[in-house]
Amino acid sequence: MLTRQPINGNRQLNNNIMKDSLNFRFDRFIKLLRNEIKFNHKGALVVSAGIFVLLTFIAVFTSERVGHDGSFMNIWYGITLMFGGFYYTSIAFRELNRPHTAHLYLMTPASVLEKFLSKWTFTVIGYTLAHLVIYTLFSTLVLAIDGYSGEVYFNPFEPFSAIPLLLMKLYMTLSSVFLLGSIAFRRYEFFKTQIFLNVLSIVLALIGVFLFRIVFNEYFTGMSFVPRMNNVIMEPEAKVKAFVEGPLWTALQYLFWLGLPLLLWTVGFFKLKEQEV
Amino acid sequence: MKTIMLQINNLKYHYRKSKPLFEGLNLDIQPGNIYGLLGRNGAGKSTLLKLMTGLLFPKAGNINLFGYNPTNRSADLLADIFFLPEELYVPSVTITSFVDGYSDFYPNFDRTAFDRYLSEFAIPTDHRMDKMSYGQKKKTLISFALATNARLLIFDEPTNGLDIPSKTKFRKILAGAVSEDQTIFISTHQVRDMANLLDPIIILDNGKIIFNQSLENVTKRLQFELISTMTEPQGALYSERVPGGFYVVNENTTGEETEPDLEILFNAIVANPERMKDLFPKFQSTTAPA
Repeated sequence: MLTRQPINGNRQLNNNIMKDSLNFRFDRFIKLLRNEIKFNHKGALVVSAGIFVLLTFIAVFTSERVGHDGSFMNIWYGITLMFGGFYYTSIAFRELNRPHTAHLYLMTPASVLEKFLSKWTFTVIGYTLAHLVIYTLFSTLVLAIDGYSGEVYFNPFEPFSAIPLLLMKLYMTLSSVFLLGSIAFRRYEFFKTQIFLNVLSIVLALIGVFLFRIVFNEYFTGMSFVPRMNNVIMEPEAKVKAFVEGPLWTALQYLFWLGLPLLLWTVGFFKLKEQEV
Repeated sequence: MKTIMLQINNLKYHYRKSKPLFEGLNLDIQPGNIYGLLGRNGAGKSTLLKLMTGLLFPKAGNINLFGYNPTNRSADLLADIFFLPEELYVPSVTITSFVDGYSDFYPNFDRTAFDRYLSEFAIPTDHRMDKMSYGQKKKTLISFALATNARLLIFDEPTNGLDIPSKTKFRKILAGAVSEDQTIFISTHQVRDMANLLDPIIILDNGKIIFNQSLENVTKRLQFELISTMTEPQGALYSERVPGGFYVVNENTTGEETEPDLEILFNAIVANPERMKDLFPKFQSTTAPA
């Protein structure tokens, strides 16, 4: 229900951009989550189920040939979590791809924050948890089949051991890039995001090379650094080393694990707010 | 003081790498009418509707809808408007599932009314929406739009794709569904489908609102008549050859009111914008019925 009265001839426009966009009501948020399951996830669930059935067959029928593999479960956990998750996150905002789907999505009565958070919840929290549950079931099933057929080839998957937890943390952080890609790119978001990351890497590498060339100018002859390498004392001073391994490393850790996703989610929110049809 | 529901001030808009579509467009809309937005192809009708609802952002100027800036996409504002575009999208679910999913975003949604409209349009509720014909999808979404009881309903070419009985049904349902505090905005080329429904009439041409008048004002100032003659009448504001003679629009000097034909009215205004300006003193302002 509208809380503001209809305008009259001299009424001033109430133009509170952030108040309108950041408005959050839990009931609307829940409705968005419900619709996400209702209208968008049947296909995803079928594909996920298919992948895990296929993976089960691969694991069971190749285990005898491959032999005992202690890391199989963790490796495949990482692969399916990352690739599946990044692809899934890339298509999170698929409604924005076409004008008529975007129309329905953007005109749905919910704030930008509620819409963003509903997708975030599904891709970051929902996918991680759903994948964990399905993968645990998968590993239990594979081990049971192996045990039934005589010999167990794989170590059991322990969902809350160090490696899966680290992988989950890594997925949650890196998926922020693909969530932003999902909003910023129209169609083939997954590939476009990867191309963008590759281009960005090349650009950053080039900047790094140029900075290196400028900072260490005195050690260069033309563009060649190698001939004078022997003269360079590569071991940094103890003070520098302490700084790099101490506060700098901690800061970089925070920047990567917290700063990067928070920045990209914030940019994603504003990109979503700017969407037009 | 008149209540204004929508106020557009000095709106400027252009698509990327295109010449300006709107430059300094102004429009005031009062609640409680079924507005007809008419214009030639490419005049910017759909764009204007998108700007009004925040689906596009103005390059300059401002739009005030119920006291909100539509570009902020306030959830409260969105719950009080429903925009049915010409190009439809429906998810691959049944009508019941669709309504269960979206109706509770609209606090005044009337499920009984929705079922009644569907029944009047003869649409079964257990059909998958994506498997329905274009006309059936449109009728379903028209029913949904009306059942939201939103204060502003916007229909872009609502009768496109509807068969003849459905067009009649649409007029009947629309006429019965609208309440006093609701405003309906219909953009259409099919003005004959909307006979006796649209009032006031807004005409958009060359990026400007060149006409915004109630039918009452139109009949006071213009006379419409069919003349059985083979030679084009001289001195008329506008004339158009029709089977059996000419349809003529003249200045109403006798005070006798005739029923306007919206298609002829549109053609007359687009053909003689300057002359019409003289006939309608407050040419670009809203003079809708109270």
